[in-house]
Amino acid sequence: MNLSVAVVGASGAGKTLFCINFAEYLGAHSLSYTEAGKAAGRRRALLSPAAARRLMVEHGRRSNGVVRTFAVHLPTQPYRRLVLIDTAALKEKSPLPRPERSRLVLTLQAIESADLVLLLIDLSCSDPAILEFNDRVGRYLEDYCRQQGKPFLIAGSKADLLSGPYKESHFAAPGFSLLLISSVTRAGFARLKKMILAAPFSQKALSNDMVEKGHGEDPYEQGQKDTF
Amino acid sequence: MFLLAKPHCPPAGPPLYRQIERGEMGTLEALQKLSEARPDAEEKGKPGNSSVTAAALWELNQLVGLAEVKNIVEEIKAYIEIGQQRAAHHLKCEQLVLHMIFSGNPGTGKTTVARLLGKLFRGMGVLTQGHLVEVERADLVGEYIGHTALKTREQVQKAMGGLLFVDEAYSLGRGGGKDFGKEAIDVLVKAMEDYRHDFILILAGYRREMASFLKLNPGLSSRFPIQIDYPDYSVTELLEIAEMMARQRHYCFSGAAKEKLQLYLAGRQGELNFSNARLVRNLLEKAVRRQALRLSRQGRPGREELLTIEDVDLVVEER
Ligand SMILES: Nc1nc2c(ncn2[C@@H]2O[C@H](COP(=O)(O)OP(=O)(O)OP(=O)(O)O)[C@@H](O)[C@H]2O)c(=O)[nH]1
Ligand SMILES: Nc1ncnc2c1ncn2[C@@H]1O[C@H](COP(=O)(O)OP(=O)(O)OP(=O)(O)O)[C@@H](O)[C@H]1O
Ligand SMILES: [Mg+2]
Ligand SMILES: [Mg+2]
Repeated sequence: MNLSVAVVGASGAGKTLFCINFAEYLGAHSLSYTEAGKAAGRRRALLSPAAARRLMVEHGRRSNGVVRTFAVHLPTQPYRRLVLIDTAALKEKSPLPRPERSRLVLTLQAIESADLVLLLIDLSCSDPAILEFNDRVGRYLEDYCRQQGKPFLIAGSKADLLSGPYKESHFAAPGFSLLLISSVTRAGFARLKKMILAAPFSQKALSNDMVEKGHGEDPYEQGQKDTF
Repeated sequence: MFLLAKPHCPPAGPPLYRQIERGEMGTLEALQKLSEARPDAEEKGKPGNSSVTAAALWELNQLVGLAEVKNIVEEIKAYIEIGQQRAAHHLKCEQLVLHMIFSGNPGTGKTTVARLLGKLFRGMGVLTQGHLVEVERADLVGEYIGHTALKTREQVQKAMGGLLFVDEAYSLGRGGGKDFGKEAIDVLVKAMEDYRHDFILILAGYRREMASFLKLNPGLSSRFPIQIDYPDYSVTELLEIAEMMARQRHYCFSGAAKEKLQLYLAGRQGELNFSNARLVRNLLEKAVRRQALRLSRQGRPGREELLTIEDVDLVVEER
């Protein structure tokens, strides 16, 4: 059984790093991923999380409109697989430039096909235009997910960059609790894992050759506390 | 790419996607369109929809505390599923009787859980609608002979395909032998036999009163195989509920406000008929109004101030 999570958000929200580090957190030693999108063509590869970070995140690398799917076996639940969809960044431009259009379609398809939608909001960003954009994206996604009976979560990313006490409610959308996470320190991952794994798994099949098994125990499982 | 391509095309899909490709729609407009389309409305209405079931369970799990209740719901779900599977194998199965009694103090989540159960049962195909009809004594009991039966039947009729939730059900047993409340009970009991597959009756009320009510009506208790107790929330749980409710309304508590709230809740907890989450909600609603008043008296408040409920906004009666 698979649980697919569409990870969505604005450009630079931390989608890619989250997917890689969360997969690693769940015990994946190698990541099997596929890419779709005009720029990417279709690629399939197997990488270590460290290599994936180098390739996809470090040196200010942007994913440039690629939609990636990472498949992760859950070590504690051998018959369950988590599919993380690192979607193309949502951009506020109207009309959309041509290359952005098919990316948006791919992202919307990911949202529609996913069992759970996770919106990432960069907490270190204080640009009012982006805050407003995120607000509206959150509201629309919330409405959509509620209608579909699809779980919807909002996570504030890069919590490690916040100085001083911050409040979860600052960035919450109505009706939804916002989780603070950091892909760097892995704060909030334990809680997020619990919430995601509590979501209903679908029966959708994923062909086996797409996925490499993750092994080993979850090193963060025991006594992991959310520290920032 | 096969993972992303849905085997059955989402009805909101193709035309919307074509509009995007033609450049007629930006990101926000597209998301808004998506959120407005109600593609699965028909499918969702059909009984036996597993995503409705799953969503109901997920929502239930998001509720703070209520461990016991969550377990019982899990049990009920398994019981129904196995019953359905046995039926498919032509094995004898017991009559599925799902009438329930909920006892617990006010604000312990009885109505909230009942509503989710309706959704769950609709998802599992046990009920066709799964809606909740909430009634109390005044909705059932009439003023003259024959009126009560009429009123009660009318409510049962409304609840067909869903749940009839009788709040403060013990009040039907009050008022002595000549009271019409008894008549309402008789009509309900008859209805739950006659329409056992068409609606589920939930009698709810405070623990103490429900216990004595059931003792006075011994035949009644046995007709309700599922009896769920809603314990009072702990102070920690109440604080968590308070923060959740605040967050949903785009507010948060300052550190001092949290402390004040905690002290107050700790003091009141354990009182007779302590109103739990409802008390928290009332406090929050009052605090929101007080905060608005406080801010309107000062200059232009910033985002931070607009969001924050300070301890001065929390009015807790001295006792
Ligand atoms: N400090 C900190 N930095 C983070 C965190 N998550 C992501 N970043 C950084 O933020 C930048 C953007 O992260 P990405 O994961 O590439 O963001 P993205 O959402 O995939 O961006 P696009 O692919 O352009 O849409 C990178 O420099 C990351 O190292 C975090 O939790 N903490
Ligand atoms: N466990 C919980 N987590 C979050 N919110 C809760 C929880 N329990 C109750 N609430 C909230 O508290 C409020 C009161 O709950 P509800 O109406 O379900 O209580 P009740 O038991 O039906 O009370 P009464 O008997 O007074 O009608 C609602 O707004 C509900 O959303
Ligand atoms: Mg990226
Ligand atoms: Mg109620």
